[in-house]
Amino acid sequence: MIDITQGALVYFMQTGFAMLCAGSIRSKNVKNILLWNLLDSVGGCLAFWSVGYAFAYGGDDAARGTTFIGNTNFFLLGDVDMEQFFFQFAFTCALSSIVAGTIAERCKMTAYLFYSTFLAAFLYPVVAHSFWSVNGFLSNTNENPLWGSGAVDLAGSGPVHMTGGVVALVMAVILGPRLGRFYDENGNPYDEPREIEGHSVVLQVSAPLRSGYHVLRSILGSNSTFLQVSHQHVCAFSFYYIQFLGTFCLWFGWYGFNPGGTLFIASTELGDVASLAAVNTSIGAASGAFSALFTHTIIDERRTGLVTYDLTSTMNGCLTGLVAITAPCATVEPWAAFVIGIVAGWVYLFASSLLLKFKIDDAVDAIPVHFGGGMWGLLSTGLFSAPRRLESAFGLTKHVGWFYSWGRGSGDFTLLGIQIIAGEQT
Amino acid sequence: MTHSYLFFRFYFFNIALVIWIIGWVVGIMGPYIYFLNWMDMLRVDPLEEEVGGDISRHKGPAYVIEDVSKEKQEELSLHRSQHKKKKKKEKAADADDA
Repeated sequence: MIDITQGALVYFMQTGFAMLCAGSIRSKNVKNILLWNLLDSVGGCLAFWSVGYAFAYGGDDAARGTTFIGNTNFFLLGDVDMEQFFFQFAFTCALSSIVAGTIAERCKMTAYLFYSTFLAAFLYPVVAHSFWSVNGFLSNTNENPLWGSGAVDLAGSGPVHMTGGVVALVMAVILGPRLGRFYDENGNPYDEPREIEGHSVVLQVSAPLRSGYHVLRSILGSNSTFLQVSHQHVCAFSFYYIQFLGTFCLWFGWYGFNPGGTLFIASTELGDVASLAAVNTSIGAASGAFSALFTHTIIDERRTGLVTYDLTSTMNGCLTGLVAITAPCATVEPWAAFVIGIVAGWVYLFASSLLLKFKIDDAVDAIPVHFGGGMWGLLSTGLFSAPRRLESAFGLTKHVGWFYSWGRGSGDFTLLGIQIIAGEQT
Repeated sequence: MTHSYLFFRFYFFNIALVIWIIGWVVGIMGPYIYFLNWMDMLRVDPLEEEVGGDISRHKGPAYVIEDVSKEKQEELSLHRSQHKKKKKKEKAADADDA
């Protein structure tokens, strides 16, 4: 029952993605992006049910050794772990929603349908199989994984977020930028890229506000000073709050994403591990937002001389922190979660400026958040994973994070070397 | 097996994970998306992009702004101001009666 609740929490992230996307793009494409977000779940469910789950986990059996792809349980026929299907289905939906935001406003509906079902049916299942199935060639539950090492990625910095981020990057490069973002009508590049502000365009005002304005004008006369002031207010009315709500929905959903991931590992201390995951998730998100906000402020102050506090960078820094802490959340100490989050904020700002430099247009900055954050999450697992935590979460004693093997010095290090060699021989 | 290799081993393994994901996704999605683009199925027409997907494909804009006609508004404001005066008159009449 708890597993279902966790899966439902992950599924709630769809709400967050939908709001984030809808708030970040221009109002003329809102219905389009919302429909895509719904179809992520619809297509994702049908594709994952029919073939995706079979490719990812179908016929999992430790006796079969290493396989590239699953081959039974198509259409969930036969003996299937339904809890795992439900949780993984929610992951699949999240994956295709990551891409939907990046390519918004310029991708055809048919192309969207083609790639999103393909993601859920084939692309994601293969990566999930390699990371998490007992037959996966990188999985830590496989008896003979690649190089005798097993991937430690609790809830999918790699298979979910980074995969989504790379797909978004490929799509964005091939699609090209939106009209008027980097080039003018004649194809000449702008000196500075134009910000395409989501929704804050003049007169995108909710209906009650605008009719209220008309009534006021007819009563007071159109030249009233009061009205001129209030008209400006009405015009500046933007939909940033939708984007903001999306961020919070995602953060909330992450408490299903990360602690929920612990339900599928064979740990004896499940409650403790899940709690650590929740704590690290919070610290990662908070420190990511903190570092993105103040780093952006400092950079902006150096450049323009004005002290500003940017909401969008803060929200995206927060999300990057969440993506990064997804892989190592159960295996690092809280201090490491703080360091990971701080670096994640910088990763976001750096990756975001790289995109601008290469003139790659990302409507919601999903590539820096999910590609950059996911990659940093995987790398930070290799740096910070603590021996004690690795053992209690995964029962792994063979490998520890780089900082720990470094800190142990040569004596312990020899011990570690022996452990690795012994582990390979058994 | 040298010591330095073991030293970085777990870390290298995580770099390998990153390379695997990038390689797999770019290797599969790259040709796939390129093919969609080549078939002219990927990007919308520039005019359609200018107008917006909602109007061209989704039966009208998401935010419907009602344009109330000026006569109707004036009629309403007149109606409401008279309504107030009427009520005041009635009240005054009631007070007189009492």
